[in-house]
Amino acid sequence: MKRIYSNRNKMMQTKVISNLNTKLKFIVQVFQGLIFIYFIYIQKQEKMFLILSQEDHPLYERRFPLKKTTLVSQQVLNAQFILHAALDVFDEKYKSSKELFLKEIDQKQDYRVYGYVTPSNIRFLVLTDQDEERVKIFCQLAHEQLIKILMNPLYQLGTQITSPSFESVIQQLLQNRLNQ
Amino acid sequence: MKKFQFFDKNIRQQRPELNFCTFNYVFAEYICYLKRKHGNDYNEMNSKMEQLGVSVGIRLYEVVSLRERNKRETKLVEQLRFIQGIFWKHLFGRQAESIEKLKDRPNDYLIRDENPLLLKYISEEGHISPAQFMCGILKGVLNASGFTCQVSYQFKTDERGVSYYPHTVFILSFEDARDL
Repeated sequence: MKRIYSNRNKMMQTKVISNLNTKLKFIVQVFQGLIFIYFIYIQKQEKMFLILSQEDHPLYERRFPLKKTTLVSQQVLNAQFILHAALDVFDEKYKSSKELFLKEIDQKQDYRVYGYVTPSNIRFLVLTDQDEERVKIFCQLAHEQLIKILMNPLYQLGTQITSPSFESVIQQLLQNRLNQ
Repeated sequence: MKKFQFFDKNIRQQRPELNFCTFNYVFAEYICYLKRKHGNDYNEMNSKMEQLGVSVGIRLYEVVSLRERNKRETKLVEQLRFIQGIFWKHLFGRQAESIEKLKDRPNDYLIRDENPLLLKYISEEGHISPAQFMCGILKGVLNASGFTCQVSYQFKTDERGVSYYPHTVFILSFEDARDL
């Protein structure tokens, strides 16, 4: 009798435990689903500002990487990847246009890639979610600062820009104009 | 704050003027330096002057475009018109006389300047001339805006051998036929 009783107890215990298990699994799955949905709707993309020379050497890069990268889903792509992939379209556009600011080149959900060319074919690329006007003003101001770097006779044309004051000026511009 | 002073200056509105004698002193000293260093090696002296001109040309092109006009050119003829008109005027106070094209040289354009400012106080010597410096400026501007070319100069002489120095003709030979 005792043995049957204990067996029954055990069966009941296992049933209770298995019930708990399935419930837990269900709760965990729902929770994962919610997190997934959260990260699709409130998706944050990396932003970036890039300056390229005529021969495709990068002169200056400024990335704004996402800090919490552990829970982010796979749809958030590397900003550098997006900008470099947009170069083909950029090339077509700037060879046929007389304008300096070439509006929107590429788009990824809410984030857009804007292009700007200087007369000596130095290209600016901006990946951001701001609208056109702000990016245009930002590009014009960045262009003026770039000219000040170019005028330095000790700066070799086509090499990376390492001046710390240039970096701080660009950072100021980004904060003021693009809310970065 | 001292670091930012350079970047705070507004280069859009500056129109600096330099005393021609000041520039001439420096330029004449540069030519003397080249002569001392390279002696009779005319090719070396010419290539050094051209190198200097190229770096000056690229920088000046950016600055002049910013100050005078905010557009780029994609067609060669219009770029040459910009050089002959606005650019020349900004550098030397006068427009260059004309842009020409010869029948028997389909890849070449000529820019004619009857009284170039740089040659005002410098005598004619067969092999070297500061006109090479001006060639360098032209080469820098054209290469930076995407039209690769070689630039050389010739002083105008009559059939009888009478020289009209300093009447100079700059010969721009373009390599890529698509640019023409």
